[in-house]
Formats: sequence, structure tokens, C-alpha cells
Amino acid sequence: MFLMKYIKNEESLACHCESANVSMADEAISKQARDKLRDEGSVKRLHYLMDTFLSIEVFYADEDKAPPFPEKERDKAKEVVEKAFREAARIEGVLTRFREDSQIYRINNYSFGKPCVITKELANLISTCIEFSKKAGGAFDITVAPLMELWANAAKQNIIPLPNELSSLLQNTGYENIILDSESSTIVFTKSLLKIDFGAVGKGYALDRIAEILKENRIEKARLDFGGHLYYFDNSELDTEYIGIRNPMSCEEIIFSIPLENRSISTSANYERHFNIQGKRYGHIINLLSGFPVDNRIASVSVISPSALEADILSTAFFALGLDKGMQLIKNTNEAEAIIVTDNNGKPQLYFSQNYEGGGDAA
Amino acid sequence: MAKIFKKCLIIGLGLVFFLAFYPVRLTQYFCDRLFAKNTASYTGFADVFAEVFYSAEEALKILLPDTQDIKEETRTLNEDQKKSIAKQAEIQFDPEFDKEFHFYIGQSNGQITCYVAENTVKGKWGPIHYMLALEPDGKIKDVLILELKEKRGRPVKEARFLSQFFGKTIDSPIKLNKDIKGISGATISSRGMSNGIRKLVYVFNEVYKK
Repeated sequence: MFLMKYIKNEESLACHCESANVSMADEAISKQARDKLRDEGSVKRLHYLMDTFLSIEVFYADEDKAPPFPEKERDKAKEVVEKAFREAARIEGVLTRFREDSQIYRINNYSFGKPCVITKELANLISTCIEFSKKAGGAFDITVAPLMELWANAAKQNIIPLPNELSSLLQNTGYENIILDSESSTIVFTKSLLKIDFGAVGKGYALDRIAEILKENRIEKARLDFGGHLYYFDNSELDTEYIGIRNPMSCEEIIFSIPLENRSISTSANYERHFNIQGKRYGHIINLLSGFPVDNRIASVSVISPSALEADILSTAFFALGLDKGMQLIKNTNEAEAIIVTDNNGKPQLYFSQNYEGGGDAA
Repeated sequence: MAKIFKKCLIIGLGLVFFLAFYPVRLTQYFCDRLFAKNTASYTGFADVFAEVFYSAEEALKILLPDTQDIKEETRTLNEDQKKSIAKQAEIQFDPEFDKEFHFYIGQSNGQITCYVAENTVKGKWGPIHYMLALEPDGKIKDVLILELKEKRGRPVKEARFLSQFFGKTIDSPIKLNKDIKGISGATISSRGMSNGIRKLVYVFNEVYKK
């Protein structure tokens, strides 16, 4: 008996050592090679924006050219990256509802009953959001801010909001209470407590704008990562970059990997941002039909779309709608695809939208 | 003769033992493998990478683009000040990183245009070294990360839950342990970072606005 045990241990030990050594060696080599390439052909920068990290990595050198690359190109790439960050910071300054000099702060506080003039850019963004709200049957709505504030306060005081509090606030939300005049770029709220929040949209919109700026400056290949919302573009389309989707059940693992090329992937889930009230965990995405934080079987929704804004909106809407209605929503869009992870008694289970054809690997 | 006989006996005995136990070992090996596949889930360990984005000079050049003169100052806070800030901002000072506060003051034509504070906070997987640019009135201009430790997830080795698919099945080959750099997930939140920024804003007010 003892001998058997000993042999077993030895065997398993040997196996482990071997596999570990091999993978470590492989890893080291590929990492070295990769780092070398990256050092000489790309610039990667990281800023803290919109309460998360935005990383921009641009490749300025042609893939078929050999290093060393001219210093001039590198400097130019650096400049372009900083320009992109400035644009992202500008967008944050426009869309935040926490800063007194932002347009959103102004319309949130002063546009009840009397028209407020806003920039063309913001008017376009709001009208896009309202269109998506209509498509999603109200599951996605930028007027969710009063409810978010209510729940944030509730979390601070550790009490669950009263039903009549919720219902009175629910009457003060809803995209149909925004009257937007696109031609003169004016906005009026018909409810006094109505407030706009761009938390679900800002990152996607910023990514689209950054991509535009990079393309304008003739950057052909870039990887953008806005706190987990990715956008990769590459004109040469030579090698496909695989990206992973985090496992919502244990966040340091990857559950699935897909090739991402000239598209954006946005994931909505509750495992990073949530709060506790009286020991119960609530997610940060609020269902506008009930007023309560979304609580369904969905653990995470990833939407892949050529537009980062669309991916952002659809993933939030899908999360709020639930699996069946969410699938319908994805079906009605032109190009978006979705990968959903549900909680099957503590185990993750994957679902794909009907039009999903991106290929990919079970990781 | 006896020596040879003894050697033969030992070898013979060894052979007998080997043959007797080899099947046990084999079955055990296969059992192990089957067993591992069914119950033990690999944790999919993640590696930590340190990444450097800016050097200090480079960062200052970006945060203070058209200043003629950059003055460096190191300030310390006394215990009372620290206590009152910690209470107001609802943060705690880190004994390791918050001994002193490093400020760069950008000036042009004798006028202060921008303050830059340098600090380190603890992130999820390691220290985050960052710079915060503040306008003279205390408004946050920009936050950039000089250095960061990042964890890259590894693929899960267990593919059991993939047996049921909705819609299309995925028939491309499974790639294990593939190097994956980008990871999509719920928007990353970093309490360390947001607390750090709040802390620096309060420290700035304490040091320069009084």
C-alpha cells in the first residue's frame, strides 16, 4: 500500500514538473521575442480615465520592415497617442455628470422645462442612444441616473429602497421624457427629476472617436483597451489576434477566445462593479422596468460589433433584457454578435447568438 | 559463484517486483488522468507582468507641455494633517508610499500653470505608479500611469461546460495555453486608484491652497 502511494506521488510529481518546465520555457522564448518586437515597432500608453484604465497601443512600423525603426516615426506615433488621450479626456469632460463644467451636468440641472443648447456632437450621441432605447424596448436607457443615485445612497446607508420611492422615481425616468431638437441642438426634459448618465455609453463612444483619430493620422494597426472593452483594428489583416473573454465565475481565467479584427468587443457583467446591501450582493446595472438591479441567470454578455458604441449599448441592454429577449435584440441588428455566459448552478455555460460566426476557441 | 548467484537473485527479485507492480502503476496513471479530467479543475493560473509606459521625464513633458520652468518640491504632512485628510477623504495613508509627496510645479512667465503630483498606490496585483496633473485651482487635468503590474489571465484548461451550445457549434481546433494579450471583461474598477487620486487632491489642497 505504501509503495503504491509512493509510486503514485512520484509519477504525478514527475508529470507536473515536466509540463511546467516545458510551458515555462516556451513562454519565456515567446515573451522575449514578443517584447523585442513590441519595443521596436509599437508604442503602448496607459491613462486613468472614466474611472478605469485606457490603454492605447499603436504599431507604427510596417510589418515587413526590419528593425531598427526610425526614431522620427516613433515620436510621431507617441504624439498621435497623446492626441488620442486628449480626445478621450475631452469626451469624459463632456459626458461626466459629476463635474460642474460638463455639458451633462448643465442639462441635468437646468433643462427641465426650458430648452438648453448643446453641441451638435452631444445631440447626435443622445439621439443615437434614444434610437437604441426604442429598439431595446426601454431596457437600455440613458435616463437611469436618478435610480443609480438612489441605489448608491441605499448602499451607503445599507437599506433597500422603499417601493414607493422606486415607483416615484421610475415615473421620472424614461427616454420619452427627453425632447431633443436635432436641428437647433436643443434639449428639454419634461420631468423635473430626469437626469442623464452616460456610464454605459461613454467608453464605447470614446473608443470610436479614438479609432477615428488614429486612422486619420495614418495609424494602420492599433489595439485599444478601455478597462475591458477592446477595439482592435488592423488594415493588413495578416495575422489574426486572439482575445480572451474573462470567466465571470473566476475572473482570472479566460473562458473563451475569439479572433478580433477591426471590431470591438464590450462585456457587461456584475463581477467588477457591485455593492452590498444587508449582505445581499447587487450588480451595478439597473433594470429600468422594475427599478431594481438586474438579477438574472446571465453572468456576462459580450457583444462584438464594428462600432464600439453599439457594442457598449447592446451588451448593457442584453444584460438587462435576459437571454431570450436579448437574443431577439441581437437578431434585429445588422452586424452585432453576442457571446453569453450564464450561471448554471455555479458553473459557467456558453451561449452564442444565431448569427455568431466569428470562429473561436474554447479556452 | 555465490556472488553471481546473489546478484542474479537481486535482479530476479527486482524484475518480479517490477512486473508485479507495473500494471498497478499503469492503471493508477490512467486513473489519475481520468480522475483529473472529471473532478479537479485547473485553476488556470495567471502570470503577472510589469509594464512600463512612460519615463518620468517623458510623462512630465506630456503633462507640462509648454512650461518654461519646472520646479520640484517634496512635501511631508504631519500626523494631524494626515489624520484630518484621512477622515475627510475616507482614505488611509500608506506607510510605505505616503511618507512624502512629490510635486512638480510648471511655470511659464512667472505664473504657475500646472501642478503634477507623483504617487504610488497598491492595485489589485501590485503597485501602480502614476502622475496626476492638477490645474492651479485644483481641477484634475490628467492622470497617467508610469508603471503597472498587470495580470494576464490564462485559458481555463477544463472544457467540460462547452458541451452544450446554443446556435452554432464551434468546430475550430482548441488552442490551449495560447498567448492571449487582450481580455474582454466587465469594466475594470480599481479602488486603489480612485482612492489615490482623491487622496492627492486633498493633499494638494492642504499643501498649496492654504
